[in-house]
Amino acid sequence: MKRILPAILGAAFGLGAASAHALDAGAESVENYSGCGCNSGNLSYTNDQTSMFMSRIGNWHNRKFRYTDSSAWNSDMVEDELAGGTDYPYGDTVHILFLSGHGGLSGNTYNGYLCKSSNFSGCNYNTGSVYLGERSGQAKSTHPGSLRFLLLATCYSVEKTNAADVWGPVFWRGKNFMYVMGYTGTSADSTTTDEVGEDFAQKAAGDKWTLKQAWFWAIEDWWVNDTGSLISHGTSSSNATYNRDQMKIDATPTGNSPSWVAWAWHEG
Amino acid sequence: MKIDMKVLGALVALACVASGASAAQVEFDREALRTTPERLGIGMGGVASYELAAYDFDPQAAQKRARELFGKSPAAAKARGARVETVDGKDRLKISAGPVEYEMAMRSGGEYLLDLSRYAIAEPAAKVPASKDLRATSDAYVKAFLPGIDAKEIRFVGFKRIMDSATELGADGVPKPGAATTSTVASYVALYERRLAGVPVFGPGERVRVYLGSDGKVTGHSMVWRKVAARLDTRPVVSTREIQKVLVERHAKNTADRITVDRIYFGYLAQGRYSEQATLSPVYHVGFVYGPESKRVFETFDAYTGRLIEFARRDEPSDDKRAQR
Repeated sequence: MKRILPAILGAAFGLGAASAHALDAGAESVENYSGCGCNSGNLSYTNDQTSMFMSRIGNWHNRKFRYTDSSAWNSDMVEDELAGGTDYPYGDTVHILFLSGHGGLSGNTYNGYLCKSSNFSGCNYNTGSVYLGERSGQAKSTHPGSLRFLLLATCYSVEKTNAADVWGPVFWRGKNFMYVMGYTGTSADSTTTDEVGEDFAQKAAGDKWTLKQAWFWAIEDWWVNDTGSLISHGTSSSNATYNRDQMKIDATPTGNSPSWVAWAWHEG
Repeated sequence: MKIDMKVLGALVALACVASGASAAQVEFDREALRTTPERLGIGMGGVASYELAAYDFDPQAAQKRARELFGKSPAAAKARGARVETVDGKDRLKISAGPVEYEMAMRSGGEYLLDLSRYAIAEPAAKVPASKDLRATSDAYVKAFLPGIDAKEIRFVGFKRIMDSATELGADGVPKPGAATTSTVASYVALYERRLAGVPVFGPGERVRVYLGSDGKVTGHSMVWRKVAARLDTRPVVSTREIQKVLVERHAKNTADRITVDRIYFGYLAQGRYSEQATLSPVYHVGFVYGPESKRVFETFDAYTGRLIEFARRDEPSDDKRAQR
């Protein structure tokens, strides 16, 4: 009963879009790291980013949840069949997920930083323990995953030098999981960047731009020299390239295992 | 430069004094100083503020502007002959023809024109365009198609590129060992900034971008360039050194272990295209990181007073997960 409350609340307050083709959207962000016992350094605009993203995406898609600070758990990105993981009923139960906070790399593993929780004491999650968009028959699919599009407003989330090494295995584990948008290098926490999620939502969902165009446009609208990046996959070089360049938010998963990944980034 | 380094040395020492058992150590990276008054050669005894003209949005003027660009801009070739559609949004007017999209922001007059069949998408090119040719093309485009820009205020900053790459995966989604990975340019973006009496204007507003395809041809532009109504009184600004002291004092009780300041900019902060803005006043925009996995946190200080500027928040309350469990 408690687990379905986010959906009920969304509908009750009229936050969801009515379209039969509407996707489910969620967001999580942390500004007050010290408040959940993590010493990552507090931020000032990540909650604005997710708030503005949800407000705008809600014009066309279903708002399912937005958790901030101590309610934004690292475990929400960790597979629920692993110890403490709560990607079911949270992170992997929506089609579009926007996360904003700290992030970094350890070799070919991406570390995202949200808050710790009572059942998951780590101050981060990592791509070694995420199974997103897994279908029945795939590993860890007791609760199949829904996630298709992941936006990571953190540093080093899609690093140009090893994006394939980090995200190729994650795509492999979940056939519904199609696209990651993030940053190569650092990303800013600034009053000049609070609108990036909102701009993306407007262009991808409202104006029907491709994901690549919408994400780079949202990044480019900033001054602080953030460099955007993204990655997708396909069954061949041309298929992966097409998906990277042409995929839109209304794309549906094919169910194929990825044989290629294609990525793009800002440089200069 | 020597002066800057002396300032840095002095302030690192100050930070060490200020830091305690539960306080952050504030350090200044040697590359932190970007556009400071000292580097720009701006006299700190008097820097002006500017009053910006209120923008009076005229939908007919926006339609006329779109038609002009659709008819003449090299970025809009695919608009010619296509059916024109207009979408009237809350804060923007969008006019499309084929794959070409023009938008004017109602609160600032900021506009963009993009051929979406070419923006961020690589096109076959016989050869990689030379930088000088890209620059000449973008300069000529600005001059021909972006009116109302004082040549003394616009300054070319550089190019950004959107790069594409792909590689083959092996077992478990790991890239095949030795698989070829090629990287190619999908598109170029020429960046121009605005300077008022030598002081840069930064933030999401007051700048121009010209988009070029991988073949070097223009695929669109973006411009936010508010009209200056009047130059207001000049006032003294605090020095970079003073701002550094403010930072050290401000973060003396920060619970993070370490703060490394690696960006200090001086200039006017311009709001984005969908915001009204009445004045431009000088600020220091300072960026720091907590460590290798930290976002770069920016804080803005009034350059006249040295005080932190608190911006309006747009954060709504979180859904209550704990109550639902």
